[in-house]
Amino acid sequence: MIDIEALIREQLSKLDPLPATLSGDWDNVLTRVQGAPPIRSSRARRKPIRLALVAAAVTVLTITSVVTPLGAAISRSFDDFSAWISGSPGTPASPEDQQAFEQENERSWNGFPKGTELRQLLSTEAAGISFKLFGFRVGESLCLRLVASGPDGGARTSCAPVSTLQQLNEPALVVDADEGFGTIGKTPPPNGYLPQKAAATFGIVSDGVKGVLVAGKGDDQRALVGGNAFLYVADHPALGARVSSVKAITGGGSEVALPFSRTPFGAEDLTLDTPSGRPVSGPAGIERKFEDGTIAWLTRHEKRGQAITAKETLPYDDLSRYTNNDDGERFARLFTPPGDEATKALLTWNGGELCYGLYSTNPTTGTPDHSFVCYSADQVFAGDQQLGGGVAPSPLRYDLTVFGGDQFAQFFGIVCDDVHELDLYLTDGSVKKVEIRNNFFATWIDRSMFPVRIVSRDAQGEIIGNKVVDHP
Amino acid sequence: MVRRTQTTRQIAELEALYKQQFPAFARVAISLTGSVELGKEAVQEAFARAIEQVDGFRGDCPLEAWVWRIVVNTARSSARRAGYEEADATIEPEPGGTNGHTDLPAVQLWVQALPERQRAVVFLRYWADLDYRSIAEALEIEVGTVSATLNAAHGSLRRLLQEEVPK
Repeated sequence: MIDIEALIREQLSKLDPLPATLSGDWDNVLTRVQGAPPIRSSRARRKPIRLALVAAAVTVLTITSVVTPLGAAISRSFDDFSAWISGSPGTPASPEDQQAFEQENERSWNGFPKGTELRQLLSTEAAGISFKLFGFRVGESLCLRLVASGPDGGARTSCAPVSTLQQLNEPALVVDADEGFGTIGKTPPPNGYLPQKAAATFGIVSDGVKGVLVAGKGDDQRALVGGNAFLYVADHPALGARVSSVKAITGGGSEVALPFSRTPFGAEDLTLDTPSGRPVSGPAGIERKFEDGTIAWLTRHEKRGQAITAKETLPYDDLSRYTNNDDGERFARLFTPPGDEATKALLTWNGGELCYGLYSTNPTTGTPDHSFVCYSADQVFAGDQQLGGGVAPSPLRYDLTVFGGDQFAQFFGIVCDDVHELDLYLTDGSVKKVEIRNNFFATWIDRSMFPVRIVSRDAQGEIIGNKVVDHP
Repeated sequence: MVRRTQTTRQIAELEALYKQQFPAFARVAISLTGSVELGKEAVQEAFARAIEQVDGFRGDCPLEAWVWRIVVNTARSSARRAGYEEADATIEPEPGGTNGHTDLPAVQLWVQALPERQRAVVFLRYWADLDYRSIAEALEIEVGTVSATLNAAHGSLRRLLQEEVPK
């Protein structure tokens, strides 16, 4: 007797994977709605619908990708942060500022997507430095870019995932804290540091926020608020001084403390990302032990994403060996990871080694940056998670990166084919679902939400990987 | 105001649905249109229609089922425009053959050769994992018809297997 249902399911599950080039394009959908599709049938042009409606729709984009007990907070957040979610906080940046951003961005192939439009939020002067705070949305990331002009100038870009705003309990979000600009003096004392001329703390505020108070060791200082953002610049802060509290003042006059992670001072400061103090959440242990994890498409040299051309080898000399695309020994594919469209993911096969990396623009220096690591293919998913008295294979490899005062750690890595779902259990009780594309994932984790439990599940929903990370 | 908020939420749910399930929608649309490009186009068009019409969604069925209905209808229209239905009727199982696909196992070819409604029901049930009620909503048929259609598809496949699969 044939189990026809099981047979159908089995056979359908074996259908050829959709072509790598066949991915959804929500922007294309929206373009059609607005009446100007790039390719369309002969149907009559549709009546445009209000842009605001479409833009506002994005506000709840990740409602199904973030599971949280804070339903009430979610519904409040949608409208309050709508300007940010729709990518239109503040006012359009001047053509000069936009051009400067584009020119810097174009220097690197792994910068922000072409067409990213800056919005100017705030500007101020401190310590003889002019500051302009810009904002923009890139895919699922909301980014703030603080540009300082003058000899002590530079730019800092920090991003937060859109999903964070949906689950936010507070009316504002600290995105970056104590980013330093300039130094006083030229030669640091032995085993010491030079004080900075200015230190900036900035973030996102909802419509109803009337003010933001920032405090270090002394009294509260009022930050600039405007364009759905806040900016506080400490003028000649004491050596090692750090912001200790940030509070938002609501329309009703009440003060709401904003959780954030203190920025470490100096190489000896080991207080970086002190765990939140809340217990780790989520299920303990694993339900099935898997064996021989692989990334089959990579080992069989399936051409997903794009090949590396000479352009992408700059300035990464070590990538030039892959430009033959597939010489039998070496094979490399590049694609945009699902959770961070401002970066590029790279997976390579190098004569028995499996390598992965994330290529981005360093938010502090503005220069191309990358993290690239290789493992022997038979070791990449070999065990480092405890199971009973022994060690079990781990279905993922990951990296966590924090730049300066960023409040969000970049979490990225690879999973073997056994992994169908990847969940992050945060200390506020929420669960963040991490999208996986071509066995690669990339997302941002709020540093104040550690320790984080990383749970990998197989196609049957059984837990095959379970790891607790105390801090980035 | 309440209505606008509700509509906003629904559009956001559409976006989430699109991003999470695009491969499932695309796979079904491809199966109905017989073309990767047409299938993808159909999904894009269907979601655009869904956004335009979301004000008219009354919540009398799951939003996902409502979207599936639009996707299926759009894909069917696309297939009709492209003349796929006529071509579809000529598809025959080719053990080991390709029939425009790459090494599709015989059962998959048989699924492709099913009449359109049976094929849609099979994909929605076993690929998209919809329950009978949602399939009924998606295809605008009765739940009983879903059951009957699936039975017919099972019977058809069973017969084909008994005839074609080597002993």
